[in-house]
Amino acid sequence: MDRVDTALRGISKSLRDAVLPAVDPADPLAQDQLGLVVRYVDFLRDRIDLLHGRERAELRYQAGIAAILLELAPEASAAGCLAVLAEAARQALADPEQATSDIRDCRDQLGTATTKALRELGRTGKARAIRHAVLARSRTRITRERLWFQPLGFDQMQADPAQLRPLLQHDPTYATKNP
Amino acid sequence: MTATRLHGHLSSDAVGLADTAWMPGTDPAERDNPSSGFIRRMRDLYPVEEEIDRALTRKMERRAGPAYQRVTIGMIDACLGAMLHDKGVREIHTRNHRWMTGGVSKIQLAFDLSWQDESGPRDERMVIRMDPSEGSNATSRQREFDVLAHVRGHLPVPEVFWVDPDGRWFPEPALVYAFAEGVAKPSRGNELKVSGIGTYFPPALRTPLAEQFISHLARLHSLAVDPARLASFTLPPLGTAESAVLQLNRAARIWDEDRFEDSPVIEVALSWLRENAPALDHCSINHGDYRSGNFLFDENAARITTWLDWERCFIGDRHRDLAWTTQLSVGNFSGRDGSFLVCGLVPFDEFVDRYSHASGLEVDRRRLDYYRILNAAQVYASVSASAGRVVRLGKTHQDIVLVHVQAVGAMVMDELRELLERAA
Repeated sequence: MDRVDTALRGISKSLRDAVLPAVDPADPLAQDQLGLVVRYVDFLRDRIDLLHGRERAELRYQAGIAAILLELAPEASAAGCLAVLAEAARQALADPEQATSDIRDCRDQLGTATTKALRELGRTGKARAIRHAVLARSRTRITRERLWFQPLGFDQMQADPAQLRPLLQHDPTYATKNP
Repeated sequence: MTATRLHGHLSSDAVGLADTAWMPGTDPAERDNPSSGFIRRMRDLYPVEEEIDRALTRKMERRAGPAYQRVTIGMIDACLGAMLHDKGVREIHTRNHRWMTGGVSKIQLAFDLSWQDESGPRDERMVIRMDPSEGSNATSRQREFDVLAHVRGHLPVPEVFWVDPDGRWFPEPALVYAFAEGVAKPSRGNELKVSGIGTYFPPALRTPLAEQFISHLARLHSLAVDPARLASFTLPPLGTAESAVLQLNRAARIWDEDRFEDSPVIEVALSWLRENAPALDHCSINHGDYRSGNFLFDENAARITTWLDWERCFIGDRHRDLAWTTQLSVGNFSGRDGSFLVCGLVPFDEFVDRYSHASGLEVDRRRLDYYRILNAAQVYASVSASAGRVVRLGKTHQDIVLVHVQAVGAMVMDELRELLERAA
């Protein structure tokens, strides 16, 4: 049985209760950094069960961008490569046994291919249409990322943290096309 | 007229995004341990100011080197002593050393220094500001030294004393300047904030600080530029887009040198920015990071005592500074009925009107929008790509701070998306 959550809880408590009071008050660098370490351990504990889902959501997003490019610019020199990688992404998302690292590798390869295509197409007459489609497709992904990092306290977005889990499972705007 | 002191050759097609025959891949080693060929390609693809090229090239050439090693007060004292000795300073004594916090990217040590110069015995409270092995911003200490010397007398800035631009005496490039009194944020209401981002100011402080905040920026942007005293800067030509392209190339180069993962939003942003680079109408000294958190103030007198962190300064379009200052991520929504306040101090429209009146310089909303997009892309590159790379390689004295800073990326990207949807 996995005890990572319990371990992280223990680490956080030890740092707060035992280590922090013992840090030299005249060393503000150490004081500040220890506080940030504790905060990040708590954040990680809150997110650890969702890490795999986040990788899948990222791959789903890159596959959505690839679909846009294949639809709007099938003649692009990177289209063949994009199509192969998009199919690999579809298969990876359909396989519940895929490891997190495999999903990430698939995402990285697809991301590189989409970047190459976007750089090529960014100088053509289709740039404007592609730009609008990419931005529209990116909305949910960005909201999801803002929700992801919300517990760290930088973001003043007014949002219910419970919105995160559904967005990890699918993009409601494109739900019918999601694997 | 063309820009002076520029690495590479700029043309209207020189943004560097056209070369799809080659681009960095996803192999971490390609960026963790960049080859001379990789470094050369980055320099060729993205021409930037000569001094910026030097800083970025140095970053890449040293990237595969060891992780940051803790620097002790004794080591810094020894380096300082060697530098001052070589510069002819005598009877040096240091005392009362204390590490400083608050910045994201630089190591800062405050201390008291006594020495002897031609005017007699001197005694000053000082700060050494030194790069870590690699920071989230590769910038120039020489430029910081030059601009501080140039604007002193016009704006409240610390007196600069010595610079080690290439790490000849210190482990990394370093600057020595006078310690400035003041606080970076009000004593209450900002307990969870990092580095002044989103600082909250109580209403009683807002009015007097906003007045100084705006008048200082107006004064800086209308200050005459003396190329002889600012030799580490490029002076971009008026009437061309070179000023914008230099800043764009810098952001695009950092993105390609440092990133972990691809971003379609950044790609379409860079493409739009290349198409829409505006011409320059007036050469201004830009602070580069003009925001709350980068000025110190006397909380009782409500007086700005010092402007700090000039590392991103450059000469060019004032709209770069104006867009930076007014971005969402450095302001907050503490105004009346939850309205947005620029840097937590003043409503946006009031900021623009008062700045224009004080400087005599127009605020062009289209250029402001352009630089907002450029700034958001640049900030994203810095907090997502550079900060992540630095932490991965253990290159700083406060990696955990940079871990947290990466959380700003999603918020910045949302701002970038909104701006692009309106502009594109």
